[in-house]
Formats: sequence, C-alpha cells, structure tokens
Amino acid sequence: MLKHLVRTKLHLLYLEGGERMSRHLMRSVFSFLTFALFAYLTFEVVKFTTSYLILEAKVGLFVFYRLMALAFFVFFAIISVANVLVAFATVFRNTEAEFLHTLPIKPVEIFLSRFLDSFLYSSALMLILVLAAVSGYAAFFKDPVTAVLGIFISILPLILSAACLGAIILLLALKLSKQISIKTAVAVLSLVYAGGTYLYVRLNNPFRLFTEVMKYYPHIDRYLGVLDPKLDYLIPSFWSANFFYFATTGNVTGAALSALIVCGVAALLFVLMLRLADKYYQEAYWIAHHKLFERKVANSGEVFGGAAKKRIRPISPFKRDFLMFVREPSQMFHFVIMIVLIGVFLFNLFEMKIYLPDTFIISSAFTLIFAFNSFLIVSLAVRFVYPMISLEGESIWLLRSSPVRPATLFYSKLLPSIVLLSTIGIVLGYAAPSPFKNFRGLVPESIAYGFASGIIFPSIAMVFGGAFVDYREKNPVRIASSHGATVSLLISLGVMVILSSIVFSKAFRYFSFHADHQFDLSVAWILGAIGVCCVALARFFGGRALRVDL
Amino acid sequence: MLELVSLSKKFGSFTAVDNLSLKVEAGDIYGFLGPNGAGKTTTIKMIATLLKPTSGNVRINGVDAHDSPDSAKKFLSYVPDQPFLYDKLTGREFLLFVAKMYTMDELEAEKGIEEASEVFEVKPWLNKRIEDYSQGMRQRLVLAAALVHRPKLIVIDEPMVGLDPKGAETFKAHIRLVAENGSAVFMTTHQLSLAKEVCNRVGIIHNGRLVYEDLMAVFSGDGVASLEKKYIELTS
Repeated sequence: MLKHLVRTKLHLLYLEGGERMSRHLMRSVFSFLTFALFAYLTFEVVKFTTSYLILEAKVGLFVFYRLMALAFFVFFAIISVANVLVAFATVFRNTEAEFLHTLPIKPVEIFLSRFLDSFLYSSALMLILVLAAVSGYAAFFKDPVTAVLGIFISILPLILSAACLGAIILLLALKLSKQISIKTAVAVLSLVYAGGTYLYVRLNNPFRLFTEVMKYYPHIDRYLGVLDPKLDYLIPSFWSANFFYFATTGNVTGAALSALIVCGVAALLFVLMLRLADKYYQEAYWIAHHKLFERKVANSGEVFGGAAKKRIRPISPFKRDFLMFVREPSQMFHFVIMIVLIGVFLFNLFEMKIYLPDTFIISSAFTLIFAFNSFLIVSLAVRFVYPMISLEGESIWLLRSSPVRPATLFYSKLLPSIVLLSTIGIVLGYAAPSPFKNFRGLVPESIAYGFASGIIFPSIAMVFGGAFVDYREKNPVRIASSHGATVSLLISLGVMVILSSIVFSKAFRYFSFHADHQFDLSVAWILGAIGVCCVALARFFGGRALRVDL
Repeated sequence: MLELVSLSKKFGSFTAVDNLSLKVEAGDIYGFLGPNGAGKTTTIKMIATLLKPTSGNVRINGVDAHDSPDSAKKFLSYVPDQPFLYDKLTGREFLLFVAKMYTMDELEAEKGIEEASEVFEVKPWLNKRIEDYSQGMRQRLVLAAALVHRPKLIVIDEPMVGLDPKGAETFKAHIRLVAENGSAVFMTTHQLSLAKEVCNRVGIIHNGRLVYEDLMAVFSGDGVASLEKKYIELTS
C-alpha cells in the first residue's frame, strides 16, 4: 500500500515537472538560471570563506570545524523548525491528507507519505545549496568529485534527523494539546527551542573558543576536545562537523565513529518518528481536525454576531486581506514569531559593543549585520508578501467580475506591505551601526538602506508571487515554500548581496576616514532606482496575474 | 450496515451533534436532511473517521469506526461535497489508485473501473488529465471512484453538485441499483425532491438533534410538498 502511495506521489512529481518544462518554458529557464547562479555564488562564498579562515585568518583546523559545527547547528535548527510548520500544513491541514484518511490505509502509511511529500516539497533549494556549499568546501581541499558526493551524502542524515525531529515535536505538541491548550503547547515548544538555541550559542561562543585555542599555539590544528562543552555531544550537528574534521586530518577511526553516530541518530529519530506516528498520528490528526472545525464554528458565530452589533460598513480589499491575515492562525503565529525575533535581535544590537582593530574586519562585521537585517526583511517578504496574490484563491472570480481595477487591488496589497516592512527596515537601519565606536555618522545611510530594503524586497516578492501565481493552493505556508517562492528568495538574496557589497564599500570608507564623512547622495539615487524598478516590475507581474484568464 | 449510537460532538461549549442514534440497513438509501449548520457535515465527517466523536460510537458493518478505522473504512466509500482529486493524474490513473488503496487486484480493478466509468459516462475521458475535466465531469469521476470497489456503505455529502440533468438522472438510477444490490447509502442533500425520489428512509437533523425519522413512504401523494411542509415545520 505504502509502495503504491509513494509511487503515485513520485509519478505526480514527474508530471508536474514535465508540465513546467512544456508549458512554462520561460519560467523554467529563468528558475534554472537563478538556481544555477545562486549555487555558483554559494560555491564561491564557501570556498572563499574556507580559504580566508584557514589561510588568511589562520584560525586553525579545530576552530574552523567548530565554526562549521555552529553553522550546522543553525542549519539543523532551521530545518527542524521549518519542518514543524511545513509538516503541519502538509501532514495535518491538507485536502489530500483528508482524502487519504477516508481510505482504508494505515495512519502511519499516510503519515510517512505526507512526511516525504513535505520533505521533498520544500527541500529542493536546500539540497542544491548544500551541494554547492559542499563543492566549494571540497574545491578548497582539492577533493575529487567522488569525495564531493561522499561529503554531500554524509550531510543527508543530518537533514533527515532535523526533519524527523520537527515531525516528532509536532506530533507531541498535538498530542499534548489534548491536555493543555494549543497556545500553551506552542509557547512551551517555542521556549524549549529558544532556550536550547540560547544555551548552545552561549556555550559555544566562537570568540572565547578562539582565545582558548590560541593558548595551544602552534598546535591549533590538533583535536582539542577538552574545550568542547559536554552538551554538544548530544547534538547531531556536532558529530557531523567532527566527521569533517577527522576526514580532513586523516583520522579514519574518528571519522567512521562520527559518521556512525550521525547515521545512528538519524535512524533512531526516523524509527522513533514512525513509532510515534503509529501510536499517535490518528489521534493527532483528529485533534488537528477538531481544532480546525472548532475554529470554523467559532468564526461563523463571530461573523454573524459581529455584524448584528456593529455598524455595517463596506470592506475594502485591504481590510479584507487584513481580516483574513489576523484570522489565519498560521499567518499570525509566524508573524508574531518573526517580530519577536526581530525584537530580540534589536535588543542584542543595542547591547552589543564591537571593538575590532582592523578596518576590513570591522567593515565586514557591519556588512554582516546589515545583511542579517536585510535577510529578516527578505524572510518576511517571502513568507507574507509572496503568497498575497495566490491567496485571492478561487474567489478571484468575484474581483474579476466586479468593477474594481486590478491596479487598485494590486496596490492594496503592495503598499501596506511596503509601509510595514520599510518601517521595520528603518528601525533595523537605525540600530545596525550602534555596536560600533563612532557610529553616528553611519546612521543616515544605514536608515536609507533599511528603508530601501523595505521597498525592494516586498516588491520582488510581489513580482514572483505574480509570475508564479497559484490560485488553487489555499495554504499560505505551502505557497510560501513553493518553487516560485524559492526563486523569489534566491533573487532577493542576490539583490541583498549587491546591496551588501555597496554597504561594505561605504562602511570601509567610513571606518577609514569617518571624521569627514558626509551622506552620499549617490547612494540615495542607486537605492531609489532599484526600488522604482522593483515596484514597476511588481506592478507588471502582479497586475498581469490579477487579470489572468481563469 | 451503519449504526450511530448516542453520537455527540462538542466544540468547546458548542454542541454540533447531540446524542444522535440511527441505523441504516443494507439496501437502504437514507436521506439525511437539515438546514445549514444543523450538524450534517459534522456527522458525516465522524462517519468517515475524519472527526472523533466526543461520545458515542459509529459502527460500520459491525466494526467500530474509531477503534479500528482501517478495518471499518474497507466497507466505506465517502464522497465529500468538495472532493479531492489529483489534477495531474488521468481519470483512469485516479481510479486505479483508489482501487489499489482498497487492495483490489488488477482484474477486479479493471472490471470495477470499466463498470463504474461506463455507468457515469466518464469512459471517453479516462485517459485525459483531471485538470482538463469540467466541474460536472469531476463529480462523475468522484462518484465512479466511490463505486469502483463495490462498497457496503456509501456516504455522500451533496451528490448533485455540478451534475447536469442527465448526470443527475444517471446518479439516481445507479444509486438505486447499488442499494438493490445490497449496499447501504447515507446521503445529505438540500434537494427535497431528490430525497423523495431516491431515498426509502429520511432523517431530519436540527441544532444537532435528530428531530424526525421515518420511512419515505409516509409522504405519499404529492410527497415532496408534504416532506417540505414537515421539514419547514421542524426546522423553523
């Protein structure tokens, strides 16, 4: 049964791929070029970073692989959190899952087929980037192609572990929500995640580790396991990085043992996930379905009851979008999480003090903060602005048959997004230079960049939201993790790299001669031109999508 | 074939289905009527094991649907009001997929598909992708899929959605035949004329409670008018 289910899903994937090539050649070619370009950039960045850290900064192999462990941990945490969200949309709140539940199929088989579906659905970009990153790393060490494949395969158990962990957490949260409210369950889970991440980052401070390792100079390539916090042994990403360290230093036993641990953990988590699914999935599905229905019942009462009490006013498209947004728990939940993350980041920025002697490094640190600010805005844009046109859904006929102009409808979506994201951009822009000594002179330009990011990135999201519109998909999480959303993310990151390089050059000049720094008007012109182009493109593609033949 | 025993479903303080008990025997076509929000869909979702009752039981062919859902669903076909279809599959592939899920072998599946697709006149379309189907054709395919494995119980939520008059006539004729062959049919509809025409038993649900249940034969003469009168009297 499971074999047949999986075979049908693979057949569907093939058919969808085929349709793309034949019917949407332009879109496919563009997507391919974007993926290829981004993969190449990743390759170069990883190769450069590896080369810089080992040959220029001379941090030593031990610190290098501990930095890799840190990156793997972030990667691991992001995949597991993302899988909690995507799996909820795919395994529980999904019409296909509902259909399969009416057939005589074992719940665990439905779970596994949906889990694989959610895993494949949102992993294409990740796997491409991982392959590109691995190739960049291997190119530095001049490893043969077979080694690249070997390294790539060695990361797969880590990805699988993270995805399984996400699914396990989701199953337990839903099971737990029978005893406590879903909000409490989510709050407990968020606290566990935030607490775990905080503890990990606190215990693995790279600056402190670097200082400690330097005490052993010149033996900084040696395995200095005594410096590792014991908590790290419990995290698969630590063993993944260890595998890389031992493989590079030729310690076959160490590499084999690390690989065994990583594969063992992946297998264990996979089996545990299946055991839990076998035991709880049916129950968890009923709980999720009950919650969904409960909300429908509650909402129907609210709509009719509310209308009777309040003065009835016509609802504009903006207000409709707003009401739909705040009444969709997955939208609000993610939005609040991202705003809290931005708040935590801002708090840390104002608290942080960075004293670095080298102008290149201090400019890089400032650019890194700017890039992270932009990344937050890109994430918000891809997650919330990209799905806006598709979310018109099957009710597009209502708008197409009414006398509302597509332009009005389009701007009712884009302008509020720009206002919100550029406000966040301004706040982040104001905070970005604060960790640096003598930062005041950088504030106006930093604010200008933040403001421009708030215009450019939602516009890019709208361009691709229009170009890859899918009126059949109702779930915003699935829309925001679709093929088009991935392309949107990549293009935004490409623009982010361009902006970061401009920021770097400006910051470098400022930190070299900040005494006579003045606001550079050319920056405003460049940002303005990029912003206008993006809005115009968004208008073209977004407007076209709203006029598409149904 | 289908037995609901003191079935209740609560959402917080709201009771969607309240102590509902009824039986549908083999050969019955049971019309489950009620106004919007009366609890019809909640009841059907509990029968299809998509929702778990707060209390009470659903038994399909003697099997408790929530204690042993896999076993109970072997006897069941469920047609929701907004059915799911794999748009990228052809009609034949979809029917073959459903047949496989009910563990039919190749020969049985081919025979079942042949019969069901002929009855609902989807045969000429079977090799086309579902995304190219009209609304009515999709509904015909869903009905064909529901019959392909010769279920003992068919649960249908609003069967006439999107069907043209010919499709509707085909449905009526075939559903009677299915019942004559020993299957039980449990369906909801807002079309009282349809209920009068095809059902031999009727139940009316209002505010989650079964307020009326009888044989359709009691509405003799201009049956639809008297059924309508009864319906309005009980649900106003």
